[in-house]
Amino acid sequence: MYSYPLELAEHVTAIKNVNLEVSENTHERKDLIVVGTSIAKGEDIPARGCIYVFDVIEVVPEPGKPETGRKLKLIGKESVKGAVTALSGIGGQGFVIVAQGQKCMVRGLKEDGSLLPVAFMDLQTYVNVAKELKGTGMCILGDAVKGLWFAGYSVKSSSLLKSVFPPLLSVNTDLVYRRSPTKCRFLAKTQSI
Amino acid sequence: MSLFGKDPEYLEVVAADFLPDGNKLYILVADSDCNLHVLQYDPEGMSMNNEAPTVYLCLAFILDPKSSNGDRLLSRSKFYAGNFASTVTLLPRTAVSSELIEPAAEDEMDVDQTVSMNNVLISSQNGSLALVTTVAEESYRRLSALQSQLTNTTEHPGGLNPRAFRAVESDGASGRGMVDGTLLRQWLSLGKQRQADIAGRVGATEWEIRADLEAIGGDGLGYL
Repeated sequence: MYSYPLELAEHVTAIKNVNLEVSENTHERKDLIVVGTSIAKGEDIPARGCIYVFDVIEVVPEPGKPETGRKLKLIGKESVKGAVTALSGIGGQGFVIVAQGQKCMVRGLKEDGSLLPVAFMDLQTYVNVAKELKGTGMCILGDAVKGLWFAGYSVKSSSLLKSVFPPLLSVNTDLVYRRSPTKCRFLAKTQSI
Repeated sequence: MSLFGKDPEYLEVVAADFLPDGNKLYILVADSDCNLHVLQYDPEGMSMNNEAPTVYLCLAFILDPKSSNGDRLLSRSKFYAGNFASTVTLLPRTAVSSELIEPAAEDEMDVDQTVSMNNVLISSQNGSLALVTTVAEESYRRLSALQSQLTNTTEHPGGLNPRAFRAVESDGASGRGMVDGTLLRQWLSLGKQRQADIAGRVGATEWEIRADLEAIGGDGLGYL
């Protein structure tokens, strides 16, 4: 259907559909495809990476080939130090958390296409897994060697977070997961999974 | 960003995801040795009763007050899955037919209190799929007893013991143990007489066992 060429020795290591905030002014959100890549040229050269943000747009298909009716349009691109190894959406503001090298950064998409870092956390060796608990700012970051970390991102200052957390935990999980069994069927069908 | 908790030992994390259950938060981790670990984030570190043990194809866990204010993720259970996981994904779960039955009489208990809302789908590199569901305590007890009965009474081909297969080597207590759905399903292929026999020894009716097996059997993903 569509392909986007990457540079030499660049490999895609993470790809996810993330609901990102595209405009800081209008707070408009969109489902965008975020791709994380790593450029590894050998042991003696430090690995770099790149984060791409694509939008899926409709175009006029070629005659006889209806599958060419969709294209990926590059909206944002950011080169980073360190290979991008995992990514996920996080929090309720439409940010994305990207594991780049030994650091995890929460980034927001700006109007000019760059991904502005909002928060970061130092991690261990190779972050394999980044999963969010949808709707909350909590996420698990799994390392390929050193184990699992359970962390959270909040817009308020992080010093407040621990004390707020226990009541927040039950409210959030309740809000997100309190659905009656019969209603859930309807929700599951219309929700994009 | 702040760190809430870390897992207690060095795990080579291949894939992981959350598994919320009611107001408890569990994390399922697949490691490089084909094991599944269940960790719990429990900052209050309280409550000794097990409201929702779970089953592998269903699995099971327990609570314990060692979480040091939530800084440590508690290791609840370990299970040898036998397949190298590639993804672990949290999916919503819909009620299966046996969970939708309204109680006929008014004096019967609320049926729907413990219907599990989430389950986790695990896909492996060899193409197999597995489903992890939380179940209620009562259901877990029945299934656990059923598992022991089946392990003791069915033939072990090649002398391969189903309990030893799923056990993971660990120094401490590995929790209450996940229940193996693949083994439990063998009950359905037994003859009527044997089914009734085993159900009697488990202390449950055949309907109850069938309902439990349906709940863990994957119908909760019927929307896919």
